[in-house]
This record gives sequence, C-alpha cells and structure tokens, in this order.
Amino acid sequence: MSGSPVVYVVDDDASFRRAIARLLRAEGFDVEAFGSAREFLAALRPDSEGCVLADLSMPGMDGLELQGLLAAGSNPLPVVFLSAHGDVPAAARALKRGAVDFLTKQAEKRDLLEAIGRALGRGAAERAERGLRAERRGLFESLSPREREIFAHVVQGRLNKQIASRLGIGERTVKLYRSGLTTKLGISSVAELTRWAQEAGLLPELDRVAASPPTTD
Amino acid sequence: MGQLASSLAHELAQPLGAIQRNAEAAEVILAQESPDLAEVASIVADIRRDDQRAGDVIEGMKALLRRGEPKKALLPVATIVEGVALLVGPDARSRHVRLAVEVEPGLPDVEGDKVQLQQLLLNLLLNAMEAMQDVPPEERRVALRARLAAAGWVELSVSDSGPGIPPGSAAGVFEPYVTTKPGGMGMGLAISKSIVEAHGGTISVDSGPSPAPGATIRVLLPAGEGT
Repeated sequence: MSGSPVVYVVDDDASFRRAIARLLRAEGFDVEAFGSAREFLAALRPDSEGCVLADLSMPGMDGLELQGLLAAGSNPLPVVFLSAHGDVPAAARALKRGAVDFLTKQAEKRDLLEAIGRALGRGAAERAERGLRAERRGLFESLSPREREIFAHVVQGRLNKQIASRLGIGERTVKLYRSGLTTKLGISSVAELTRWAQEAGLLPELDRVAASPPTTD
Repeated sequence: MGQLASSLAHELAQPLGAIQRNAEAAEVILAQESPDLAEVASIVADIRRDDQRAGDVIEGMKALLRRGEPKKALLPVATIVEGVALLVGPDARSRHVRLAVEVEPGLPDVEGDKVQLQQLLLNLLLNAMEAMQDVPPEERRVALRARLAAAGWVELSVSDSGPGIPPGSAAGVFEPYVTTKPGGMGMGLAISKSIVEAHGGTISVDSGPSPAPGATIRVLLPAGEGT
C-alpha cells in the first residue's frame, strides 16, 4: 500500500463500489475498494498515499465519522464524499470539516474526476508539508538547549550583543553558536531562520523558549 | 410522504449511480486500443442486475402507494382474525411455529376494508415468523390477539418469541427499505403502517426484556360508529 497514490473507495453498496472502481481504473487510477470504513481503516498504513472516496451513509461507521477519524490520525488522507441523495446539511457539515468535495453518486464524470484530482493534489501537498515539518523538527530536536535558545532570540530580532547580555555569555560565544546553527541548518540570516521555523511550525515553541529563563549550558 | 420520497430517492440512486458509472467505464474501455471485452461483458451483466434492482424498488414503492381508499364496511374483529389464522396456518406448521389466537369476547366491530386488514395481519404474522428463523423450533411461538384497548379502540397485536428489536430501533422498523433479511425489500412493515393509517389507527412495536425478548406489534383501530 505504498509508492504511487491510490484512490481508496469506501462504500457498502457492492454494485456501486464495483462500478466506480472499474471506472476509475479505466481512467488510469490505482484503486483499492472496501465495503466498510472499518475494513479500510484496518488496511490503512502510515505511508499510504492518495485520497478517499467515501459514501456518506453506511451502516456501522458512516462517512462523516470516518473523515473525523482520518483527520485526527497520523495519516489524514483527503476525503471526497459521495452521497445517494443531495443532503444539504450533511454536505455543509462535511465541507466545514475539511472534505475536499461532496458529490452525488450520479454526478457528472467530469466533476467526479476533477474532485479526485484535487483530492490527490491536496494529499500530495499535505504529505510533503508533513514530511518537511517532521524533518525540521528532528533537526531542531537535535540542537542543544543553548543552540535552541540562541535560535529563539535571533528570531525575536535581537542582536548578538543583546543576546549575549541576556544570557550572560560573551558576544563571541553567541557568534560561535550562530555559526554552529548555520552549519547544522544550512541557513544564517534572521529572515531565513524565521521562515525555516515558520514552515516547520516551530514559532510558538521558539517564542516560549525566548521567554523562558536562560539555560545553564 | 416526504419520508417515502427521500427513501425512494436514496434507494434508486444506488443502482442508477452504479449503472451510470458502469456505462462510463464501458465507454472508456471500448475506446482503448484492445478493449477487454470480458470486462465489458461483466459490466453489461452488472448493468442488467442493477436495472432489475431499480425496477424492484419502484415495484415496492407502487405496492406501498397502491393502498387506495379502504372500502369501508363494519367488520366483526373475530371474523377477520380467524380468517387470517386459517390462511397462515399451513405456513406456520411448515415453519414449526405454534400460533395462538385469542379474541376477547364482545369486541365492537371496526370499520374498514376486509382485504386490507387481512393483508395487514398477514404481513405482521409472516414478519413475526421470519423473525424466529434462528430460534429452535420448539420455542417458536406467535400470538395473535384482539382486545378492547380503551373505549372506542380495538387492539390487534402480534407477538413473537424471536430476538426482539434493539433499543432505539423501534421507530425505524416501519421505514420502507429497512430490512435485516438478505434479498428482502423491507416493504412489509411500511405497507402495514400505511394500511393502519388509512384506517385511522396507530401502529407501534415494543420488545420484551432480554434474553429472547420477542417483539410485539400493536395496532390500534377505532371501533366503528354506533358499536
């Protein structure tokens, strides 16, 4: 279940499931089909790529519940909902919770394929972003407490002299740490460091570190 | 009626949606260099099956709507009940179901359509017998009772010794297309409900305590004028 993106079809109606899997395969997609949300979740891997095409109303776990579980999990694949009838309140709820789209089972093929394309695109983009964040967090964790502290103060816009006085260390020491950061992260300017941290989702943490008492390193 | 329309729309959308997607798939496959004709044959078979399924849904809906105005006549309850018991007797015996019939003496007549009321009771009895499929033969019991519920109201009830109704599902039991039977259409109780309502009555279901709680469907019909 890894490698190229897969459209995961989840629908309890066997005939519709078979038909839509056929259509999507004929259109060149990789498809895996499941008769229930539970079966799909059991087969889902952390490295599964693609998107989910789910029926809204299914016995047992329904589509909305499935979407909720996916969104809260470690591999939040994008979801396109199919419904046997246009249920406006359910559609609104689904879209508010982040579904890519909501279509009826008899929607135009063109609209169906376009929604799946968007879902796969969103899936790939979110996946890449998650990967980047994870990689950067790993790098951040590998910094020493003092390095993280200096990083935090640089992002606050403080000059080396201010950082030195704040932390009770020499200005030369601060510069040494900063060049250490440059070596480890590959970037040096305030702007680059700030953007690096922002893309990694680390700014709140850095704010906290900057506001904390100095470490004794 | 809005409820029925919504159920109908939902039940038709499944096979129609499948037919549409299958046809689209066939188009794409046939446009390929060397189309997989076995796949196309499989598609055609599925389309035929779903067409049949859609047709069945429509037939079921027609049956539900065909009630028409009941032909009103004053009917003795005992006659209706005993007539149905006779009709269902052979079926009950072949399923090893013990059928008990209890009609309170002195019941007022009800105003209604004899055929429809018999169909109502027949539906309920067949439903009760089917509910006990997994019950050991010696424990299969159905009771058909008629009694005075309150002044002006006659209660007809059918009780079984089956698994009963799960808590919270009682209201849903009378919805069309709701069935636990594979291949079943789920129309029986919905039709029963429409007959009861056409006669100015009410229908409800209750389930006994576990284990083997059984279910009882109660129909309340107004007593005829002047009885």
